[in-house]
Amino acid sequence: MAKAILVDTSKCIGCRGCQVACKQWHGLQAESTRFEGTYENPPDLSARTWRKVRFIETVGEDGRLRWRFISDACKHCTDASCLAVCPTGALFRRPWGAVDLDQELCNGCRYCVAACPFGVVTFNEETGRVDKCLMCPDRVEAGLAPSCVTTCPTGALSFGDRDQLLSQAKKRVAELQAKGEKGAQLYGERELSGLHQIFVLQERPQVYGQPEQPQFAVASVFPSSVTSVLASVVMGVAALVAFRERGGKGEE
Amino acid sequence: MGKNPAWSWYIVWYFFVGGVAAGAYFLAALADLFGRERAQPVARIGYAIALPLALVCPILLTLDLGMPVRAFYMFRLFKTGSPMSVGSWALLGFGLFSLVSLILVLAETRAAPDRAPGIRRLRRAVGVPGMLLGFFIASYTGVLLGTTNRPVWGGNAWIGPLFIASAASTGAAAIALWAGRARIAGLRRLDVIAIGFEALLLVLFLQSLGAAAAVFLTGSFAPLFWGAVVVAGVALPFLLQLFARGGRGQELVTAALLLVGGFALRYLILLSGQA
Repeated sequence: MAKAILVDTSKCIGCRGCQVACKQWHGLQAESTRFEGTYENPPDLSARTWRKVRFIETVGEDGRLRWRFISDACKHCTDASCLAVCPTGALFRRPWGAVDLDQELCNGCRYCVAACPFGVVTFNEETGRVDKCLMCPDRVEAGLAPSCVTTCPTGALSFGDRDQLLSQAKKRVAELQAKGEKGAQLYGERELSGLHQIFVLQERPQVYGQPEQPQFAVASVFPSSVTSVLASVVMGVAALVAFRERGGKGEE
Repeated sequence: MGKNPAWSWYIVWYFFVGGVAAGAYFLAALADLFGRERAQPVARIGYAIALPLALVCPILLTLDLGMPVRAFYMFRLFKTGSPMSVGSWALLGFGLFSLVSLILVLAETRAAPDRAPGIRRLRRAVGVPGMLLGFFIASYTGVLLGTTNRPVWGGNAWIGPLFIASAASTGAAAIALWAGRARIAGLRRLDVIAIGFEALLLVLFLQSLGAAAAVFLTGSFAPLFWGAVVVAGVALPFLLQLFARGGRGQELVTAALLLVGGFALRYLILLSGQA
């Protein structure tokens, strides 16, 4: 049964408990950062920060300022670009859906870093390998929820069977829309054939720094291969024309 | 969008050196297959260039890894969806074919006159799969860049073909430089076609980028793009080979220009996706 994390941004108060719980459970170091005029810190997901809360200020149609929060981490995509391009097999999928990473197999080629549509996978300069959220396989396989979910005090994060969470999320979206939240929407049901971290958003995905149409990097292998084969044929014919002898007439 | 993979200078050099090796090999194999006696220098020199350059490639790739001691992990799997996985195996195969082809070049020159034709037939046969690997090595790096979620590269299907045309022109340039004073039959015609094709692909590539093409046309990369890629790498060598009749000196100048242009192309494409 596929598992998932549901992030209900309408319930998030930006306490960053999930962010800290993740660091504690995985023993991730703090980052040295500078004040950038926002409570949001550190500035991005990284090799040492696998989950973080993004703080977004928007102005609604009524002219009122709104403070939005999103607890962001690896989406554990069904069409996972990182996993598809990984040449060593260091990235692999758990039977229950998570995209995990075997540090013993990663050789630091960084292809996954460039392939990820969400900017999640990050190279770790210290270890020479990449890092990202693993969805706490040690906890999940012992019957627990990931540490971020267990810590969340408001119920913004929940963990469980993906199907169940999806219907819960749809109910919540309908509820929010009924309350007048026109921007309420679900993110992650169909994107990349389904994410294993799904979101109830109150605005467009872009507002939260998420791509509206995330692309499966490997989808371009076929068209690129076709054009490359055609170009090879053209060059082959070119060489044939160039190197064949023309009836007695020498090449000057 | 994916984070910047920070592929370094090693990768710029790999794209360039791998392209020259692959181009030299497939031109050598095609000259061996379709050319008569006068095209034989292209075959002999092309194979001789391909092997040492093919041996440099894995060193460059290994040095760029976060964990160079794990370079051999590239051969744990064969993943058809991952250009890097297939490319690693192809590079291994390309090295082997380059070695065998060069051995057969040396064997032919040392063989008794009655045995030489047999060796050449064998070399032609070996050259066919080797040539296909050469085309693969020339283009898979472009396919690999397309298979990402980075600006300029992501989803672009024209980088592979562009690298093939560039491999042909830079491979031909390396052959011309190696030949030194000796005149190589057919290279001038090949240059004209390859450079013309490269110019066409460059236009298609820029067109496919839409507004993002500005990084090359008017942005910070523009001086290098117009100067090194367009003028030195395409326009000048094309005009020289088409109209000028300056003998060997001209051939060598053309070759040097093509190599500069080919290197600048790899550099700019790698950097533009990591800016």
